Amino acid sequence: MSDAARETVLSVRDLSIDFLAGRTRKSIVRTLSFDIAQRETLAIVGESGSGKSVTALSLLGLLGPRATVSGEIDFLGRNLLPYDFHHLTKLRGNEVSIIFQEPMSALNPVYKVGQQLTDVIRNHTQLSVDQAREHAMELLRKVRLPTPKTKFAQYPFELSGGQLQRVMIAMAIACRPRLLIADEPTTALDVTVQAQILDLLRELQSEMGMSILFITHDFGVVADIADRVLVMRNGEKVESGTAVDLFTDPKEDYTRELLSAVPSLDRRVGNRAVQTGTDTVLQFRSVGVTFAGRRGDGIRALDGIDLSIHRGEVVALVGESGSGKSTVGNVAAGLVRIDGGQVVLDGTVRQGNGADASRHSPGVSMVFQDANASLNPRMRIGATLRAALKWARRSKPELETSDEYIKRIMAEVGLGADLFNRFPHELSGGQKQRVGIARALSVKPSLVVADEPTSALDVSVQKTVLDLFGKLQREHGFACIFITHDLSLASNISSRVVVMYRGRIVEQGPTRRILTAPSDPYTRALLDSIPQPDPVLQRARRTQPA
Amino acid sequence: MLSLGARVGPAIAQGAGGTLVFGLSANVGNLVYGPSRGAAQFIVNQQIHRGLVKFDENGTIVPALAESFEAVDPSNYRFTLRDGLSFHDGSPIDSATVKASLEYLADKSTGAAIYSALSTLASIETPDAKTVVVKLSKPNASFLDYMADPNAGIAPAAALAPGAANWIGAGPFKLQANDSGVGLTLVKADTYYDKDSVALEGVRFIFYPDSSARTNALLAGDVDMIDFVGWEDFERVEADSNLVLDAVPGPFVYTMFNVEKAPFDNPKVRQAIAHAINRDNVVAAAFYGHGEPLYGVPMSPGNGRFDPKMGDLWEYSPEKARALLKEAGVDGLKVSLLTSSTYSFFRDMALSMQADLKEVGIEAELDAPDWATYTASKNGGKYDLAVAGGAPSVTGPVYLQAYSIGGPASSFGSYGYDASEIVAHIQAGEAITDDAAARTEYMKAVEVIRDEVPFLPVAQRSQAFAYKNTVKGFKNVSGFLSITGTGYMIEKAKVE
Amino acid sequence: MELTTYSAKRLAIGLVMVVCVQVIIFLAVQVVPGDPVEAMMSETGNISPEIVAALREQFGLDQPLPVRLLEHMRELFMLDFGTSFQYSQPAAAIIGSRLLVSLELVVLSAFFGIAAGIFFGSWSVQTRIGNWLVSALGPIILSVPGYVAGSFFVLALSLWLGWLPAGGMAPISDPVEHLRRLVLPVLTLSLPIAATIAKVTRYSILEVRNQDWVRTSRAYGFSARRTFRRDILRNALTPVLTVSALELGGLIGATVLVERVFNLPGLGSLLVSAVSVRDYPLIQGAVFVISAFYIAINIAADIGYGFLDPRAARR
Repeated sequence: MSDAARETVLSVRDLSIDFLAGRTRKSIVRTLSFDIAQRETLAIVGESGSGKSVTALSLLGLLGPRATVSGEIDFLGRNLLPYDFHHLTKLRGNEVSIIFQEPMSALNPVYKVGQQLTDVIRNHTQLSVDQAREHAMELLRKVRLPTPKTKFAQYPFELSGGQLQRVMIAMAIACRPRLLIADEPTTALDVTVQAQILDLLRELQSEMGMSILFITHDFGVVADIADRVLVMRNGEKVESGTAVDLFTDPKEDYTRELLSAVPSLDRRVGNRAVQTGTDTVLQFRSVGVTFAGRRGDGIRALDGIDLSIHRGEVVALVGESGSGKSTVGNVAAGLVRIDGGQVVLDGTVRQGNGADASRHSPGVSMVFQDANASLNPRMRIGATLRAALKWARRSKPELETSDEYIKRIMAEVGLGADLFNRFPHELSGGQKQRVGIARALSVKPSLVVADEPTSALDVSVQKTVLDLFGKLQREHGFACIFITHDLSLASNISSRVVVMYRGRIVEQGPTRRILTAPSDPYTRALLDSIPQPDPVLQRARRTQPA
Repeated sequence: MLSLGARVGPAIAQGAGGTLVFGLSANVGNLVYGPSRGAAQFIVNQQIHRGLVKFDENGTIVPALAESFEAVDPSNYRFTLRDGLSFHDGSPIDSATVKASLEYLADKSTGAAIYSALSTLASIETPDAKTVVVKLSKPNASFLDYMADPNAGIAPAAALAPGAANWIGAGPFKLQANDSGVGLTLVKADTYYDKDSVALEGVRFIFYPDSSARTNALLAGDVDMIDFVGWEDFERVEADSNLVLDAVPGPFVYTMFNVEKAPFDNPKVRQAIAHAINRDNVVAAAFYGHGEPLYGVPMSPGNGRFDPKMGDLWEYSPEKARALLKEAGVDGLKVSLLTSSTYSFFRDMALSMQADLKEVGIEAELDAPDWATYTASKNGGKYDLAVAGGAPSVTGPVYLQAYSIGGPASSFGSYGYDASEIVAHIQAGEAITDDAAARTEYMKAVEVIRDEVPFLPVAQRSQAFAYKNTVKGFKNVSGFLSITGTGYMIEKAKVE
Repeated sequence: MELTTYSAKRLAIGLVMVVCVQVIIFLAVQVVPGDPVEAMMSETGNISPEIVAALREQFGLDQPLPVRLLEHMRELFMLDFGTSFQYSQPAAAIIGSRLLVSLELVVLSAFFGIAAGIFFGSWSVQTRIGNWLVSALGPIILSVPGYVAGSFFVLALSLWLGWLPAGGMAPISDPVEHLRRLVLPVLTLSLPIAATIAKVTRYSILEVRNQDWVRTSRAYGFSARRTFRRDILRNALTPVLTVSALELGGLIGATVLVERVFNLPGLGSLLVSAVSVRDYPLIQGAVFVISAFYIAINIAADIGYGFLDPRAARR
């Protein structure tokens, strides 16, 4: 792929970025240098705080007044530093385009998508409104947006995340840019959609000959799309090289560490023995849930769910967004009213349409995806944990609420006693999630519902949290519903996998069987979409006919 | 009605006397024949309408539509109309017109303000087109006062129905434009019998219901004259050398008692109150010092039927009040004192009295609802003590009758009081033509009032008009007539 | 939901609400103690109980309450509020002329207040002076009650300086004088609105400014000015609309005092005087108009959300 004779589109030398935080200057990126050639895709990989996104935004001068950027940014022979905003305005969206992580918030909610696209086109061209519309429609077809004519006149909130990212891409290629910056463009998307978007980007690149700077934390995605890779850590380059070299022969320890932390399907399947008690903790019998729409039309979130969880068992609930997997967890915890079937938890029956169709179940605790949002910012960690215990004591009077007990639980999840009096904002993401786990654990639950507990965490942190969770589960022996969109992750922790699609269970069985011999076509598609952190394997998969 | 611009119309030609721009203290809607709608409406009525007689600047009754009048005896009055009288629309006025108007006002279903004077109407004779003879079934020496009342104008037949608009009259000015809620534009009427002595070309009334807004309008030069100057604004007006403050002792404030129940069923207790109230304090608190304390019944200066002794019945003496209370055998009294929060002088008067009552060992609890609730409580006897305001429309001592007769029969009197003795003396006085002879009869009634205290006059408030010093010929009529008589002075004014 | 269906539904609910308010106010005002005739015949003249009875009969107050309520609702159906006791004129006509004054006052004050508020709010985000103006001057303006500010303006601008008349209404046929007389009342009413709206606009802009789509707008080469108008201000207006609707509702109440201070024949002062003498037809008519106005503002605001934020219309 690499061709030394190709023109260099972007050449960055000694890029340093400082941010003004209060009165002090904080160095975010230090003396970073890299090149991108024509038609080349460079992936910058790193964990949060590595400075990869800041680097991407600095190229277009999008960092705002608090940032100081120095060094050289040479784009097609023009040095962009120091910024000439008049010049940048002409460049942005024209010769250099950018797409973002959250397509839903990257588009203005109050304008129709067609209009936003047309506005961008007219901003850089002399086209009339009609011509620009015409061009916008062409672009929407090109990015394979389904029913483009209808979507053209719809608002962002009426489109799915994948569709919106297609619109963003259409916007990005509207003026045939030489360089496309993609800042984690698939992170917020489901894995099947991610595969399609990556395919689309590759296809557009080969057609239009643009270069891509791809920012991501996901080695699977890197393996799928990158020609060359640059690994960053704490604002500095760790190493760089071609994708194949990096994956097969990483030079630096940090790179190796990152690669080993990536959950991989093939390596870990079946690591966990299938250990199930016969004792049933939770049972769903044809459970149905309907969310009321405003005009009386309900959304069927769950439809005839039959599911049993045994004592000490970890069941992974896998599916895309909207599949109903979180609703299952909420029903188990008694947070959502069921309107059909029955739920049996620790021998207590909840009937659909009954007075107790939703009732908080004291035996269930939850660990949430967004650890930050699930902690009261004004409460110290110790107080947060004590509050949960006090609440649980109403149905479990035997629970301890002493500071010693709380500190013991904190030690168990790897939190020092010094954090007892800290506030959530003083903790890192991983620590906050440990608090979440401690809170779930402290009340001695028979069932823990873990709703994507690690998906907001960096890959290395994710691994340690996951390991901790597994260890605690084995020690305490609680049953667990582990909700995730990531089949690799499911394979690491669960003994059984339940695959959900549009409110139904399409397949369930022992983890090993589901991953190796799925019987349902949806499960297969899901497995195929997972990018593997191996560029050779990915390339091979891609060349196979779908 | 729906036009903002209906007020002025074409500008009024500036004549010798100019146009008087008058800031009026209340909104005047439609004029309706008969019922009273308050002081502002009186002033408008007096420009548009005219009765058989009117008051002059001294409060004396003088001819109006009647060229001459004669009290044959106190129950028999003869009026001779002027020649060539007509309404603003040119339709003539003769004795039949007058008869129709008076008979309408004598019908109680019309709600006429002067019904009480005409309730004893026996007959109206019209021997010829110019002569009207009114015969009453009972003598009434004050009958002519009622005939001069602002609500006693003669009206055309079209106005003689409840709710009918009554804008066409025989007065000095006629309506040119009615801008609802904003004002009225009047121009001099050439049908007026005395048009040659009217100097003004017109009067423009602008409604200023808010007292300080009204004063501000005068100070800013937006209007030439205002009525009912707020007491708190007297100094501001007086400080301006271009303005005249024309203040006279006007209506009075008094205290009512609920005599249906203890303790005010006992005349001794009422006498005690009569001695307990510090009138000077009331004048200072309620009227910013602009008023006169009353130690007897208020008297109209131009009327010869009053005896100066009537003004000297009680004194301010807490010792005497305490002695009277002791004599009555009451101790540690707790009473309710009804007033209204709508008018600050009502509230301030009650507050001042509250302090005086405490001085003599009576604890008065204030009840100060809004105006309508106040009237309902007052007329329904839901009080022990109440403050009230009086503005008699007649000048003679006969007015005492309405304030003596107890509620619910009279809304002005103390609830439950039987005033038959007072009424008998007053009626006897009314039957006597000679003022001096009548005075002794009235004095007997006043002596009963002194001992029984059916109501307790407290102070006579200053009633002020204020105007630019370019306004000449106007005079605020002293006494009760400041309300009912001063409106007749506008036609004598001119703006230089 | 379609905007038209949505509007029609809101309108129907609004009508029902107006009728409910009428029934409630009818009962409330007639149950409260106080008799219109006695209240009006308060201080002047010699009014005997028989005259009071005669006038009560004339006004139809001798009828039992249910009969009067039915009659009132029947009349209301034809937009007839009856005849004012105080003014002996059809209440509808009086209210009509007063309503125009109030509406003019409210509309002008709301327009200038909201426009100035949005302008100063936007300005405050961009410059230090603007920021100082909104954060320092705003609270001062808001802490001064309307009638105090109004009285101060009369004192300063008309009594001392003599620049403007002290109050009153001039006919629209004399537009210059008409507007001159509206300057002070509109100023008095719009200042606090401007202060509130400026503050809301400021905070709303500060919040929207950090949204991702603003970065997108800049990243696609839109000028700072265009980004501000298209992607910040427009989105920031939704809370401004909410507060504006509330302020507009509050304005009707605020006009009462301003109408008194500046002697404007508006609906507020009419209602206050009508209540004090229990002029039922006027009270009921005025409340009808005011409640209809309130509800209309709310409907307009809801429809406005639909335009400002398409998500609102579909919810």
